[in-house]
Amino acid sequence: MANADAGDGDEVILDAPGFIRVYRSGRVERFLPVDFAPPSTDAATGVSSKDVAILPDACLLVRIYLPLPPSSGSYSGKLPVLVFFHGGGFCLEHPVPALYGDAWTALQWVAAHSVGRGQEPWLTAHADLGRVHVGGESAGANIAHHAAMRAGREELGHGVKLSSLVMIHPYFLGGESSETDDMGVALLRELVRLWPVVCPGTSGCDDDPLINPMAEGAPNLASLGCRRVLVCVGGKDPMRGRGRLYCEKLKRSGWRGEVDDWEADGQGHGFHLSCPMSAEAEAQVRVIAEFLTYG
Amino acid sequence: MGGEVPEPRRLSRSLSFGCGGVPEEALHLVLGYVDDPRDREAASLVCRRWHRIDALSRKHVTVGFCYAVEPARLLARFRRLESLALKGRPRAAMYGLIPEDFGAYAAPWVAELAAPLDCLKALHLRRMTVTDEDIAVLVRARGHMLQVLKLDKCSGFSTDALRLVARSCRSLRTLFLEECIIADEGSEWLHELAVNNSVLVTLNFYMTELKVEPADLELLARNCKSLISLKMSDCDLSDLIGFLQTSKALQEFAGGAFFEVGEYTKYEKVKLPPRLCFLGGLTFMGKNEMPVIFPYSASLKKLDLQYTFLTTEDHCQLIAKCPNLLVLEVRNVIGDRGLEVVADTCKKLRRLRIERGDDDPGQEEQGGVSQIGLTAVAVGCRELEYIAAYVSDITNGALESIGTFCKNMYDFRLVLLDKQNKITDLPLDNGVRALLRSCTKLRRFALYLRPGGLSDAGLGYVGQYSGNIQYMLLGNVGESDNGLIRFAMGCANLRKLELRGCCFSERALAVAVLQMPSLRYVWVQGYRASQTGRDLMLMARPYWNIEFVPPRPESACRVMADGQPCVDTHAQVLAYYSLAGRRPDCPRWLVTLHPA
Repeated sequence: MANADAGDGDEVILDAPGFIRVYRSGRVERFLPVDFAPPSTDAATGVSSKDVAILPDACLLVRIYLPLPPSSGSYSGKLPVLVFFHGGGFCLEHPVPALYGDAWTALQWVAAHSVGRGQEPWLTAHADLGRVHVGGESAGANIAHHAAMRAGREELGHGVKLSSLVMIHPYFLGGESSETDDMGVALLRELVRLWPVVCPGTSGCDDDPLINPMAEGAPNLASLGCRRVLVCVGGKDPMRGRGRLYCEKLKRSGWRGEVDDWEADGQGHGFHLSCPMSAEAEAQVRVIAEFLTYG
Repeated sequence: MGGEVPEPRRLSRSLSFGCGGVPEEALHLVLGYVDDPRDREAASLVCRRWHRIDALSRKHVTVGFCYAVEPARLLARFRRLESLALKGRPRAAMYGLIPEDFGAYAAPWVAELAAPLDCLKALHLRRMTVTDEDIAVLVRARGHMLQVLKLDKCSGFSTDALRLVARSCRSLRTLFLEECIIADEGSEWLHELAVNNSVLVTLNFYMTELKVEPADLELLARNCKSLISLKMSDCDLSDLIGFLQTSKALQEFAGGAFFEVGEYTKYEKVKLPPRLCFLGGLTFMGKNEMPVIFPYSASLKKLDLQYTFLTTEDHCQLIAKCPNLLVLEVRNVIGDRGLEVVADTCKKLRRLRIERGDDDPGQEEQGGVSQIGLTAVAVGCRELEYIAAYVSDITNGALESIGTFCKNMYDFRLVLLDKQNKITDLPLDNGVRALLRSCTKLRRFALYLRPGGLSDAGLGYVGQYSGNIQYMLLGNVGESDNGLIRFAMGCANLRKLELRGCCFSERALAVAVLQMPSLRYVWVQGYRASQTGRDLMLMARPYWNIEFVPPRPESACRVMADGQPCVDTHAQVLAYYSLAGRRPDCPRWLVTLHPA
């Protein structure tokens, strides 16, 4: 699908109106307004954050969050670690599967602190690396899934294992859609068109395990490298069917672990980002917190 | 900085708009930049001086209905007009609902204005009755100055008048005759135009059935290097090869036909001009002839496929090659699948028209356009400003999608065809509300449904969320008089309203009209009409004309259970604001109502 864009001569290879425009040269124009939030100490909760380069040469940064110590002034023991991948429709300047490698690098960096090889004081001082969880939202949930699958095949190193996987509104496509809402169907079409742009060389949404881990011929979910999984979906999310199918496939795959699922009635994809203070968003946070606490 | 700070008194005096304030020339210059007619109108009310300067500097006026003001009054106020547009018969004339002798004669306007308006160079008449004599008067008075002549869906003149225009109007850049009914006395007019004019940019006699000689078109192309747009009556494309070859500058072309379908070899040699970006007509083009335009697909910005013989599959194949379309016009044979291709491909689309097809060969299997196609287009083509669609099925969800994604929507028109018995999702109250709440730029809105399509609550939403909508056409909406009143109470900015096939009483219509402060024009067809229109008198007020077409006599003895008249499809009401008072040229079948 080539667009002859008059003017600058750079061919448009994807035009998703109101969202992004991608050119043959690799240039990407983004239209959604996004504000950068610098690291800080949150006034309301006391949570501190900072950005750390884990691969300075590659400009690979992570943001670390540390909760406020209780009023006694010190933590009672070490804290569990949640490695969370944010969403945003995959990275267009660095196509899939590069970001899966970056995610794995981040997890290895965390694991290195278990034997004092890491340099990050917040981790060496406070992290309980016997309780490492991985999670993500939307495209980040997709990334988290693939990280957990890789953890089932490879060692993170230094004896560190993943405890659980938390997937919020996972971004999976392909297969038969049970979507009956016309707007949902149309949105899925747009996402299917986007996938070959962010993942050049893909065989398509139906049988590419990267976007459809439930596909025929995809690696068996039984090898998922953690003990517990939580999947949250929105009741009106066009991709909710994929999230539900993931749970079913995981249960039937022979994987020995526990699957929890939770659905927010009547809510769309990423509703907790557009209305973070809503009752449904707070309910979702509670479900995730309880899930992580129990493990 | 040296020098004294100016005294407050001097400062305020220099900013004063009072006597001796801003010089006349400056005010004249400033008003020259005020283009919006409503802003102009407001400025002219500031004081007598502004009124005079507005009148002197106004270049264009549109008279929304030719009986709203007398020509003499227009002349008295705007002596330096350069451009005038006049609208005549109600829009319903396009659907055969207004008899030909309704009126809307151009004669009084031409007689009064052609000579005295020294600066006039553009005239646009729409749905008016124009005679050869009217055109002769115009040409004699303004022929040497005329640059734009648009006769849009007019009737009553012949090619003899066009010959006169061609001979006498040598500065003409635009001659627009689309959808006019013109008596064809021969094609000499085109030859005369080709010989005498060398500055023509736009020539449009689309949908007129005028016969032309291809040789005259070639001559025109040679003599008018400036010709950018030609839209003509149907002529076999193979006869236009010479013209198309000669027209290097041509960007818009409509009217080529494929009269010998199946004979592709005849059309192989057709080569379209290099800068072509609008293509229409293409009458009878089928699958075998489509390759003629494949080489130009990627550069097309406007495409009109309403008169082709394409199946749904053919539409999919062709549109997938047209990523730069801004305007697309099709019949509903395109189907939902075709609209999904539009959604995937045409990311710059601004205008989409999906016309009803009659007895399409491809129609049976496809089933037309529904909420599926409309939703796909809403999600995929978010630059849309105009949609006009005939649909077989519709849902609230589809209208919600349009509201969610098409924030630039300016003009929305939907007709629900009655061929399908079961509609997925009626009434459309919530969808209509969502669309109107979200599309805040909407200025025109048309909704033609079936009984049960919109309840009284939904009709109330239309009024409540009408926002800045100025024109509405509503058909088969509401359940009772209450719905109409609630609708009217919300319409603060509505200027023009057309209602069809509604269940309302005369009293409700009258009360509704009085509730809408901006309303200048209302046309109603199909309502519970009395023989005398007695309750319509409730809407009587100064400067308000009421004209009434009585129901058929046989309707008189049919009454509904509540004793009120049945809905009569023959009865019509036309009521409008007019400085001119009652029409002097009413046909005998039209009753004018006025206070005793």
